[in-house]
Amino acid sequence: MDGKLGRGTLIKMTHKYNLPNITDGIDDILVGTTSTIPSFIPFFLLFIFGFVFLGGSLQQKRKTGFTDLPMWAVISSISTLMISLTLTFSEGIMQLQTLVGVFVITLMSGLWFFLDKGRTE
Amino acid sequence: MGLKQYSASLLMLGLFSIAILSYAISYANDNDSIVNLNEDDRMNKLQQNLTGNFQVYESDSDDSFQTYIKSKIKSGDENTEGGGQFKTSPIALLTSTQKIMQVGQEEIFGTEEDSGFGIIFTALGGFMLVILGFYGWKAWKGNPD
Repeated sequence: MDGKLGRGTLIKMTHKYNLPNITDGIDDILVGTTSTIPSFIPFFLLFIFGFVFLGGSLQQKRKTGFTDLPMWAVISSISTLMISLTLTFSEGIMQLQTLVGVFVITLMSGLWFFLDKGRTE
Repeated sequence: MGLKQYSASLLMLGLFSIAILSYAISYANDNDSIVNLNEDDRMNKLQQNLTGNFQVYESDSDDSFQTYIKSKIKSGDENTEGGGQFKTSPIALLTSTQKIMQVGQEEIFGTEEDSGFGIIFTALGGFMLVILGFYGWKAWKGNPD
């Protein structure tokens, strides 16, 4: 690959990473990215959790004046678990430890939800 | 929280855990997933423990259900007991909740054999240090907030 260095001068650019190869399927890009950056999938799942949790709780706060945080924790953790389960189909994307972590967070959210003494019934 | 709410909460927690765990394991088995929750020893034991604790509840509730749907009883027919769903032992509920909390603690904080999610301790510890540093700095400047 060539780049330009001003006044039309061409320089040779070398990649610091291997270009993705999608000969075996398009999910190889995801597998390649995950093998290069192991924390990619956990942070992606954390993004989904935070998106649903913060978005839902802030919207509820705006509309009703209070937030039911345990409920939103359960909803966001179940959403994350559903997406994690679909990522287990291909090899190399999801690790068992990550799936167990997501599941444990779902259980703890359920524990918080059912034992909460908040205003909601 | 009153006794009724507490008992109902523990029962719902146990049923919720069984439902989620069974769904995740069945999903992986049906689709031949590469990663299966059953491969983790603790999850396997948790499923067996919860299923065992609630097996009596399931059979007693099923017996009680028969009393609702059977419209006639022939002579010599077996008796059905009512109120089976209320016979759940409180010990079973507490044991299930204890097991769930134990699994959560072992997976997140780790045991002697493996460190678990040590990142949580590191992140929390680092955050606490930063906050303490801020408090110390504000106390030094004489401007507590």
